[in-house]
Amino acid sequence: MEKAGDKQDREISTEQVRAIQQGNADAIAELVRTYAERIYRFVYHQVGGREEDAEDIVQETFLAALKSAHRFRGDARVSTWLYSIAAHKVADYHRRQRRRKEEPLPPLEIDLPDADAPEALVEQAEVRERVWAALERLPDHYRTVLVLRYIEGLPVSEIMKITGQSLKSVESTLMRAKHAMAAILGLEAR
Amino acid sequence: MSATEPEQTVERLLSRLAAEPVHLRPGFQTRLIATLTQAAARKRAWFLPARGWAWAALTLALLLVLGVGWLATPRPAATATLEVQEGQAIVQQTRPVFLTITRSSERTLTKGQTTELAPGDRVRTDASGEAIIRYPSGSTTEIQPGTDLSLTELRKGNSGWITRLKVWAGETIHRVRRTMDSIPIFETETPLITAGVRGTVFRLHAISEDHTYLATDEGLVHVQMGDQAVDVPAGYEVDAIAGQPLQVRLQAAIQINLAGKPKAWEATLSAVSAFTLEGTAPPGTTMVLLVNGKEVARGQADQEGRFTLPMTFPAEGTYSLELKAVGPDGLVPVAPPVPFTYDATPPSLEILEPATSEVTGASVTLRGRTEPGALVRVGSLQTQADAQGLFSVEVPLIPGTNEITVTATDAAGNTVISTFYLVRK
Repeated sequence: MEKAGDKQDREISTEQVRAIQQGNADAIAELVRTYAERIYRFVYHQVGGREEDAEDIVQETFLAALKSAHRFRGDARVSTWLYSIAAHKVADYHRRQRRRKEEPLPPLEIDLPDADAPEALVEQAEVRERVWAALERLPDHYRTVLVLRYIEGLPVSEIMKITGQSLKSVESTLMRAKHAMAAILGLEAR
Repeated sequence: MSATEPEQTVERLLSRLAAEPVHLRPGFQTRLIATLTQAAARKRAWFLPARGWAWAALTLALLLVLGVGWLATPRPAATATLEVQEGQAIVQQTRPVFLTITRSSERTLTKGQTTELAPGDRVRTDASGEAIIRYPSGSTTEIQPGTDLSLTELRKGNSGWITRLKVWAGETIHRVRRTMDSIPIFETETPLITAGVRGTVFRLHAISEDHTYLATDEGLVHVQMGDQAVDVPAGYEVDAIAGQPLQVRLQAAIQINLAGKPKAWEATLSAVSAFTLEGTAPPGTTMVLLVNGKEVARGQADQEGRFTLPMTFPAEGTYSLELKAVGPDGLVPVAPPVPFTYDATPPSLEILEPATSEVTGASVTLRGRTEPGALVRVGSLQTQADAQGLFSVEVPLIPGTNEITVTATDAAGNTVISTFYLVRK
């Protein structure tokens, strides 16, 4: 089985994107095999782990990519291009769902005895649900940069390309996003 | 906790979330590939490029613009037919292409070829070219060799067809059809005049920019030249000359028959007292000859249009001849007044030299005096008297007696003869 890290690094060529544009079935299959799981994970954590919703958004993302393949000039990575499309689709999804709750979540009533070992916390399904819920309540651009940076593990330089922001803007967005998330989770109140 | 602890906790929570394995559900990847492949196939089936719908909308909009433009492109309401009957004709045509865009072409048609003429088209016949324009109204224009004309307007108005031509040069014959229920407007313009027609046949000759001749064979033609206007009825004609009054006259051909010698209607000097005025005019027309403004003879053109008017002058002198015809409103001029001089007096003749009847030498210079301009003949020799009536001729002599005959004839044809003898010693 292929390692996730290998998949993370793999990119298809601009020529293959041209073949996708021409409707080449092999090229389309290669595109899906290379990026579907990555994009799925990116989306999955932003829709509260709802698998069907995540799959729908991934399908919309790839269909949109197929339609706009002629606009891909090859001056960015294909993954960057797909992340960008997916981020918009997730934002659309949240607008449609209007699930974001306005009232603050109750503070996390979980003791954090060891800040270096938070695994114990997230292993608990309840905490995971709370983190997802907090992510969903964040503004779209906050949620996008947090997921790209800390879940997808992308460098800031790549996030700049995906979001179209400057370095300074990405860094400040990340900072504000973490503040906002901490506030939602009630961490600052502790 | 330090001030950065909450943010660090968020980072750790998210990083831990990232560590959780997330996998696609079985079959999703296969379904996604199938969905995308089908979508790509549908896109190809439409034969549209990636920006298909945008292109389709653009094409549709373009077609719409073209369609509306095509519908809005002005087209001639009616056309006439040009047929070349002899020689060649050059036809310049302008046709609308799109909205205000037109295309002009020039082509040469030969005998038997036809084309459609629309307003704005121009026709030029060559030196042997003859053509005919047939209008939808049934009217025609016959174009003579060397003619240049433009069809300036052709459309159906409220009261009938409106046809306007511009004859730049040359001769044309127009036959305008008139129907009971319509009053057609048929106007022909030359550089000098405009001829408006109401049911008629007429001939037009644009001789130059300053001279147009028009003759009406049927109906009535209204001729306008600047601020002058005249009606030219059937059988009449007009020579429109820039700067001169428009004067309608009868269409007639006349000549003066002087003792069997025909001559044109012009200033005449005659030695005979009688002549006959002959000519042709519309059949039945009463022609009137006037001398010094008074009627002296009257006659009617026969069925073939011929007429003769005799005249005898009672005494020598210069008279003014004028020919008129009886028109609907009185006498109308046919030929302008010309002087006619009846001169029956022979010229004088006086031999000045030689003064004696005996001469020496092989020839002698004969000098004399007669009527100024008279023709002087001496044997086979001839000369003309100068303004003082003087003449001289070198006459060869034979030894012995020579009979010298000198004849002087004046412009009217009166002759004087003088004979004398010279002896060469």
